[in-house]
Amino acid sequence: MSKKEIPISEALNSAAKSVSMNKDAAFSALVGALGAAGLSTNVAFTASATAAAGSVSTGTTASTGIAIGTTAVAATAAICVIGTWSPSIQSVTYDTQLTSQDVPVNVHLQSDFGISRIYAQSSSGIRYYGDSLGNGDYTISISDNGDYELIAEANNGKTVSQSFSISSIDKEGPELTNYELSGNVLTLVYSDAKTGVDVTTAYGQTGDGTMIYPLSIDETTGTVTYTYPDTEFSVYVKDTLGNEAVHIVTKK
Amino acid sequence: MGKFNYNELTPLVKKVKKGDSNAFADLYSKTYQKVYFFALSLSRNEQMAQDIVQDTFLTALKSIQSLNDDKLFMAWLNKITYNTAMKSLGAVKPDSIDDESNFTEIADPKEDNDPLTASMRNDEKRQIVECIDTLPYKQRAIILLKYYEGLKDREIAEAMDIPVGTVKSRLNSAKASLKDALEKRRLNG
Repeated sequence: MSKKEIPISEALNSAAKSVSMNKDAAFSALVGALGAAGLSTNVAFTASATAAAGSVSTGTTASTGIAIGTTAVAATAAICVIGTWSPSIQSVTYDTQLTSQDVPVNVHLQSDFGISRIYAQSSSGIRYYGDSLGNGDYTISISDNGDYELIAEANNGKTVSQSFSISSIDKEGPELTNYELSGNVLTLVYSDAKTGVDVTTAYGQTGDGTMIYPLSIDETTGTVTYTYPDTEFSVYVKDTLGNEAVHIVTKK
Repeated sequence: MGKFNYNELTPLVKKVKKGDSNAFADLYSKTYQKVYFFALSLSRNEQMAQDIVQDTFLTALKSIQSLNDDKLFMAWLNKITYNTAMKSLGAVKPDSIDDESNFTEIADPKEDNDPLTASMRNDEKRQIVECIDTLPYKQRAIILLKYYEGLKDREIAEAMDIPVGTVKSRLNSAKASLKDALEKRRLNG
């Protein structure tokens, strides 16, 4: 064997020029891939009939005239393909445990390719927009209970939607359900339908900042008693999620 | 005709990540024939190569956001093609392929029906390609990535999930095997 370098690149590029993925196969492969990705396959396609191989060196490739010349055709066809597909929602998940915070709703789309925006719209028309996490994952922060429509919009205007409901948000403090002033002892009874009252957090405060601490608390009944300070004052108490209620007590 | 540089793909990749369908169409049209040739070279079966192209672009479409360095798109696409081809050929792990024994049925092309050389003239180039076809998969893949795709060693390493040192040694082995195969062919012919 001589020391002459084997013209491997030339041989392979020569072979590549004699090999071409034909129009139907190229169309089929593209449509197959798009279809498997959940995208529409109802398309017309005109593909290049040439092998786009070129002589390659240091990261560049020489393309044949036919290959470059047909690029626009292939591109146009592909745009037609993409122009008909719609997003696909794979899952919508969220925590159902009661919380005093906004609820993050996790959305997974089959692909986020071509997605322009995703949002949840309440029955009253309020929209919460999602943030992309990549790879088809999005998160939407919902701040109120209610029925929602999740909507994913693609750049081509196609949309897909899915309904979901949030009922785990509790941002309300305890409700004052009863009160009584007997002598100078003020008795307040609280309730919180969702989570319960944390009467250990109860305290009062007069307008000049003087703290008024409970005489007694009853965690079972949600009852708090104070010595009435003979002046208007505010009483505070939280529910077990930390939502605070404030009531102003005035002697008439 | 002018050349296009792989760097031209980088802005397209960035646009595809933002959902630009035009950019995806450009990427597909610029690369699918190269993917097909690589797939055909590895599988030596036209139908299988077409399936590999489809699966490769499906994978690319679904995971484009995971491509960290857009400049390495072609190497990344080659990696997907390579792994897809290996999977299609029945190899659970690409590195487990050391010889042709697992692929006897499709790894023994006759000159007349070899899809890579069927329309080539019977000259030196054809002989080279036919000899490349006789190389073990790993050597053939590295020859293709180096001399057809024009990848740098580090890009080949990335595509094949092997160290750069292994790329160099495997490439030397492949070239030596190719020389031997050509020598035998010339002696016999």
